[in-house]
Amino acid sequence: MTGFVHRDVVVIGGGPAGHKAAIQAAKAGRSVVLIEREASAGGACVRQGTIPSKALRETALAVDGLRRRSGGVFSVEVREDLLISSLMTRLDDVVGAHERFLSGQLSRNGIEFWRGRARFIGPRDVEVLGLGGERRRVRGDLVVIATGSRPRNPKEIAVDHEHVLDSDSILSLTWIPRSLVVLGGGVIACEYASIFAALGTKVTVVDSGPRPLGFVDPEITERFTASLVAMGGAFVGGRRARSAVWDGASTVVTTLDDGETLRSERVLFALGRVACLEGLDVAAAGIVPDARGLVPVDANYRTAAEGVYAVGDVIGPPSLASTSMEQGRRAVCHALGLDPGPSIDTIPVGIYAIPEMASVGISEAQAIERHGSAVVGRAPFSEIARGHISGNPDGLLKMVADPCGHRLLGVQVVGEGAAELVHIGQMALCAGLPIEFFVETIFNFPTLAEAYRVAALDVVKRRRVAAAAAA
Amino acid sequence: MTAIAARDLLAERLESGALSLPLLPDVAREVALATSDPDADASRIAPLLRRDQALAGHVLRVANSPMYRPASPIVSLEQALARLGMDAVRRIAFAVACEAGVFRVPGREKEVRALFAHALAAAAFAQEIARARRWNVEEAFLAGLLHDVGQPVILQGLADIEQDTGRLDAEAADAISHELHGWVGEKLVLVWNLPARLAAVARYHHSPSDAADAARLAWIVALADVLAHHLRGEVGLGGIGVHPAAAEIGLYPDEVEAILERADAVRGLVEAMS
Repeated sequence: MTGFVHRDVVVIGGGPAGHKAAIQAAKAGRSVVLIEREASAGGACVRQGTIPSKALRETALAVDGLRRRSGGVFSVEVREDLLISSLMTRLDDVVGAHERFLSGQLSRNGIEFWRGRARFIGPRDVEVLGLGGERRRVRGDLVVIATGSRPRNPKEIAVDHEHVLDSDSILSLTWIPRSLVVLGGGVIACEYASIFAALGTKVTVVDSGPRPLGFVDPEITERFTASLVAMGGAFVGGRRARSAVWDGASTVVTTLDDGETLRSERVLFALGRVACLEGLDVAAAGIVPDARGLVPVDANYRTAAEGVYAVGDVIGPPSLASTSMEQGRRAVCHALGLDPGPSIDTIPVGIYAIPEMASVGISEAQAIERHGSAVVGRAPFSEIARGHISGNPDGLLKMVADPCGHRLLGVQVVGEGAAELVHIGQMALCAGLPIEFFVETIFNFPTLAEAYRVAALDVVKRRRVAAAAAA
Repeated sequence: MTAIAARDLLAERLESGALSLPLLPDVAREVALATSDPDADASRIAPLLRRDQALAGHVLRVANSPMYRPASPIVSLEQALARLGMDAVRRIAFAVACEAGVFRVPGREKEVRALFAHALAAAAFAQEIARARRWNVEEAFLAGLLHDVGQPVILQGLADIEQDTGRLDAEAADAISHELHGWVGEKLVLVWNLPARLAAVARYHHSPSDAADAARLAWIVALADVLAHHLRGEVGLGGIGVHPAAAEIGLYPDEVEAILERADAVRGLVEAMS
């Protein structure tokens, strides 16, 4: 093996999935090298995705919250010439702190960090190209692919990262645009659409689906759309963009498939992501990406190549940082013959739009599909004292129970704090707690957690009605 | 007069604010003409403004002046155009054209043209680098355009001094320009009320690490500067892909090569605008 160094485990990609895979392998006593093209671990999650967008969202939330809570006492306007960077003042601190934390974890666990771009040159042989053009080769007993994803580059839309942007470049804008057309109705599209709308941008979301976030309960997305409209935005459903062209001066003209044109200062293209496999030459390892360009894996994240696993966005949905971390951990446990613990199938989904949305378990539609019917309890935040206090009466918590109305199957929430609130439902699902548990439990007053009790009481009421009707 | 004395005198005149920018009257006139056309398409104006760093700077300076009282600095020409409107841009162009009528750098036209072409090439490469890294394209273009803006000011200043003292030899003039252009550029950009980041780039593009918060932008311009020199045949290809600036920015050798493949487009832009 001339020119090769050997490590027990080689992890390619330092995002949430790769980072956790490396940590797990090191904790199992293996020698580990983590290969990352950027200066530190963290991946798109830290640099382009989760953390930067949430930093801007915090400001947008503060603006939106002040509007809601001030009861008209304060007039809240965002100046059109406000620099976006000035709204993300703590971003460098937050990103820096997170990167230091991740790097500290790597060094504490004795994990080598190689900065460079990896490519397979054999089944478990990897060559790493450094920034200075230098090349190193490493052979691993186990190789974990965790290279993540990037925004899709459409053929029909020229993304120039200046006027037509994607989710990697949208936050590089200098100014808050006065108008923004968002192409796509998925999580990233809806998050940015609502953030910019809250900051005063006139936002139009265009998507081929009849409503945004097609995988989310319609009652939840209805409230999201209503909020977007209330902030001056619009949702154009059932339409696709044929082109988006910068006029050279001040406007991007988006032409839809029915010929309608939308004029805006900027366009955000947010229609899907693709796996980052460029230059990795997975074929040299014996891996053939599927039709969607993803790495096929089995239930234990094994690829077709022996000793090569793949985790995170590179294997496709759900593409959540939380899920990716768990995939990385479980993949390494499986490869090293360790018990990863019971499979967690109640992973919550959080959508950091304004308002926030979250779900865990199954939805009403999925429950009906699986069980024939479902008993659903609702707790509008307008019935919760804290909802009014926090200027958040439009929120809603839904509890989905089995046809008998006793077993909790899922929880969906819309409204500020949804991503935190949903964890109560997650714990109940994991513990198999019955609906009655929520009825009998006393929550702090006033809190949004009370919504669980209100929704549970609604389930109880509805199951009685259903039982009476059946009798 | 010795080179040192000329340098000191130039510095003194710059401190006193006696010097103005070098201008290209043709562009200013074209802008004035285009903005006078009632059917003028707005898309014609911004590219015209980009043809001239002095005029672009002038437009931005006015847009940032107390008259318009922007709450924060305006750095984009499109933003300035939108804020000022066609009439104001026409007035600026007219004023610039008049000023240009009395502005000359006897015997230095070739150098000024070369400086301008280099600034354009650096701006174009800077925006391509920013695009590749998904960073701010507008800011990178402007930083590239203005990075050497101190040099024409120095040439003008030296030309004025030479009227009294006789011509300095080219080597001495180059040395003065090299020594002072960062400082002069920084001063100029700040006088225009442009963001401190652009001023820092003008000052530190030869030592980007010193540019504090603007270090990343300064590294972009440092690499763009090298690529622009390569375009003029002043720097060979060897080592550009592994230039320290490329590593600081996080660009791998093949990615730098991909940017260099845009050289023909950049050359076309320079020719079209020069």
